[in-house]
Parts: sequence; structure tokens; C-alpha cells
Amino acid sequence: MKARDNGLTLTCLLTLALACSLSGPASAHIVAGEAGGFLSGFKHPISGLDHILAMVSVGLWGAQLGAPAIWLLPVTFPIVMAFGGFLGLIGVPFPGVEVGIAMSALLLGAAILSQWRPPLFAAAALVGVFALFHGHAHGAELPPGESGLLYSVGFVIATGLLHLVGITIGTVHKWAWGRRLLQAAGACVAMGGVYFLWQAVVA
Amino acid sequence: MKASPRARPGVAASLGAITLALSAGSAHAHMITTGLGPIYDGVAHFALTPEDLIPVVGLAVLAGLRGAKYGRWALFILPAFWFVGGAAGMVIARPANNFVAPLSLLLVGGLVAADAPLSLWATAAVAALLAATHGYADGSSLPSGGSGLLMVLGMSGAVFVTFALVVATLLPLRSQLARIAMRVSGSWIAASGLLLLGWSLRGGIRIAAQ
Repeated sequence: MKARDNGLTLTCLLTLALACSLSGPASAHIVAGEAGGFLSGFKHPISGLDHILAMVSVGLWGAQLGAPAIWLLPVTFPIVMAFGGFLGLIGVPFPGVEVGIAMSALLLGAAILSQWRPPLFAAAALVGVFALFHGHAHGAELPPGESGLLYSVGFVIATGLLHLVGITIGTVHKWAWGRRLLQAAGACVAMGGVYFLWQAVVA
Repeated sequence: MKASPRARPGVAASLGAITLALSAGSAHAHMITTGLGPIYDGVAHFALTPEDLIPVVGLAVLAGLRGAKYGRWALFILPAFWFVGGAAGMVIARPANNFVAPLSLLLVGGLVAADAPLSLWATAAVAALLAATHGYADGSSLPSGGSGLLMVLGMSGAVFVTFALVVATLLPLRSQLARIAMRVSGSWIAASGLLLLGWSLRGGIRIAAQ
């Protein structure tokens, strides 16, 4: 019964995702040069490799940590990230955003590599801090005039789906070879973080 | 066991409503003319206005988490207060605040994400507050008189049907995974509301419903 219910839910979600991806941008009250539609918001989080690596890593780490972190982190991250975006939108300065984003990839990758298991609160706090940096960067990057609920929905769904990708990949954790594979993925993410950190500091 | 047959039409209709809203080429809020009369204009307005649709879906998810009794109360409170709020908006005719949509998204999404153990009365109060404010926002930009009132009636009917379909879809889903998916959807709704609030405060907002 549970399997059928879960299958039904999954079908709903996939159909919704497909419908969303096929839908055109809602051009309600949009002025020239403004990107206010669902697709525009959806593309924003997947436009930078640093963001993609960090979001997927949150899912990977959650899968590695198991319940309840596997669902608590993806519930926490979007809200805290949106708070960072909120701060960015209203112009609250946030020092060292690029360094923070690079550090998020570096530390999350290192956590996956070392199979670090901190207390749940510490893991949620760490991910929350990283979410603030990512959200602020996204919020501050949006040029004046952009608006719209559909943009926000697209933005948040893309972030959530990146977590889902990480969680899905992370299910290989139950096999020994999968654990090694995850550690290798963590090493790659950490190396990416080093590169982004170098870019942020030097640039 | 077979998945509940009752759930299938609900799933299809819910997906249809959400897809309709997301695929809207442009949401000409309060200017929708279906050619079928003011009641259907009201229905189309609700279906094509995500600022109205998403909070109602969020409330249905909240009722889905809490149980059937909560769903039954909210099912009748929502359309009733939506209609009263809409009628009041038509009479008062002062534009609603821009913060109605983001704050209601933040409230409903936050309650769903936290799986807040609300009492029946608290849930009913949240439903009434949300319906009255959104109804007011809709009604305040409608023409006064019979056609405006019929549009509000159409919106209230659409609210009733949407809420009923979504909550009927979700209530049979009792697995832990389904509850987690509902809470994640709440966190997404709250996050969207928070971002929208940032836009509102920045002053560049042009919400479709306004």
C-alpha cells in the first residue's frame, strides 16, 4: 500500500515538474528586460556550478547522515536560503559572500569525504549558514524591477530538485562500493570548492 | 492495496489547476473575460492567480497533515470567508496591501514545514484570516454590483473545489515519505513567500493579482 501511495505521489510530482518545465513564462505585468516567469526563476540556481555543487552536496550529505537529516536538511535549506535572498533583495550587506559559497562546497565536500557525523543541530546550523550565503548571492544578483511569485517558485523548486538529485545519488550509501563512490564525489566537490575559493580570493 | 480510486480524479484535477496557473501566458488579474459570465470569470481569475491558488493549496496540505476533521472545517470556512471578504472589498473599495500574498505564503508554508500541531480552532482561524484577506484583495478591485458579487461567488466556488480536491488527494497518504514530501512542499511555499516579501519591500513588486 505504501509503495503504491509513494508511487502515486512520485507520479504527481514528476507530472507537475514536467508541466512546469513545459509551461511558458507568465508575462503578467512584466516590463521590458524583466524576467519574471517560472522558467526564469528555475534557471537561476542552476546557472552556476558553485551553487549546483553545494546544493547537490546538501542532498548527498543528508543521504549519508540518514534520517532525520535526510529530510530535515532539505526542509531547512530553502527557507534559510530564501531568508538570505530576502536580505539580498532589501540590500542588507553580507560580507564575503563569494568566499562563503566557495567554503560551502569545500566543507560540504570534506564532510562527505570524511563521512563526518556531527549532531543533527550542528549539521542543520552549518547547512543553514551556507544557505544564507547562497541565498544572498541570488537575491543581490537580481536586477531592480524583477518580480513575481512564479519566479520565486521556480527558483525554490530548482533548488529543491538539486537537493533531490543529491539525495537520489546518495541512496547508493547502503552499499560498500556506494560509500566509496560518495566519498569520491565528496573529494571532487571539495576540490571544486578549493578552486572557487581561489577564484574568490584572487579575483 | 490499490491506491484510493477517489484520489485519482483528485490528483488529475489538482495537477490540472496547478498546471493551468503555472502555464498562464499572462495573468490579467481582474480583467479575465471568459465569455461565460461573471461566475466563470471569477473561477478563471482564481485558477490563473498563483497568489491566490498557492496559499489555498498550502492550507489543503496543512489539513492533509492534520487530519480529516481539520479538512472538513476549513472546507467550509475558506469559501465562506472568501466570499465575505470579497463582498467587503467591493464595498470598501480600497486596494489591499501588497504584503497580503507574501505574508500568507510565509504563514501557511511555515506551518506546513513545521508540521505545527495546531488546534482545530487555530487552524480554522488561520483559514478564516487567509480567506478574508485574499477575498478582500480580490473584491477591492472588482466592479461593485451584481456582476462583481457573482465573480466573488465564482472565486469562492473555485476555492471550495480546489481545497476539496487537494485535501482529498492528500488525506489517504499516511506514509512517512508522503508526510515528508508535504513538509518539503511547505518549506518551498514559505521560501517563495519570503522571496516575494523581499521583492515587495524592495519596491519593485508587480504582483499579478494587483
